[in-house]
Amino acid sequence: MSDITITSSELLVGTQLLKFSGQLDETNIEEQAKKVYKIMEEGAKNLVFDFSELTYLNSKSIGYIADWQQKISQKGGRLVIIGAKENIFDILDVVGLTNIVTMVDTVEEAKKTV
Amino acid sequence: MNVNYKITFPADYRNIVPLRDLAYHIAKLQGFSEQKSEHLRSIVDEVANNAVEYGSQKTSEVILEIFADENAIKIACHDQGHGNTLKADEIKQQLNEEVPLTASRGRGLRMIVKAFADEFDLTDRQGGGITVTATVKK
Repeated sequence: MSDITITSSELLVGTQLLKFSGQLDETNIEEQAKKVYKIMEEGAKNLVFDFSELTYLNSKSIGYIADWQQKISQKGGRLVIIGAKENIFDILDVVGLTNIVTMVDTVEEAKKTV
Repeated sequence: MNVNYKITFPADYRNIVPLRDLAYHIAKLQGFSEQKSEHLRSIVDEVANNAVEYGSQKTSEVILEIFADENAIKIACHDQGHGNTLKADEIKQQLNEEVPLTASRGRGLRMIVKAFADEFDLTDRQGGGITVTATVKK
């Protein structure tokens, strides 16, 4: 099982900041996804994912990100990703997700985007 | 330096984590760039996950081979075809279909492996199962 920690905090009213540390893959994504869906159900309009400590991501995890993005945008909100490492950006880019998810470098930039 | 590995593992996703890391480290040792080494890590992860999900049952085994030299690294992943009745040509046909940006599945071989590998193919195994091969050149 790959190690992953997701911590959440309120960044702005209606905007939750989720910090991912570790690796997301087949061995842990289903369990971790439940936390994200719960935060969405609790009323977060926007989600900001801090990926600065996320070291690996695979296609199944990307499928969940696509689903979260779709659900958030259907409610008029935004999904923003902060600080993706080069390999994470690379894989998000190759599947086209960088075209539909806002990618920024810092929390301050994310605040201005949502 | 030529390096060849052949690893047989039970079809369980947890066994794939160290194998994708092995592919990354082999690539680094052979002098591949950080980006290409990461691509190898993703390729091994995606093809092995596919073999477990679509070509295996709980008691199945998957074989991963890695052939590395200074110019290229080729990986071959063989499943036993348990649970999958599709032939390689039918899967290749499916892989040519587009995936909507918001789809929850279907990006592994179709988008990631195809993009990261310089050569990519699927073939039928004698006796059942599929072999996926992918090569990354330095």
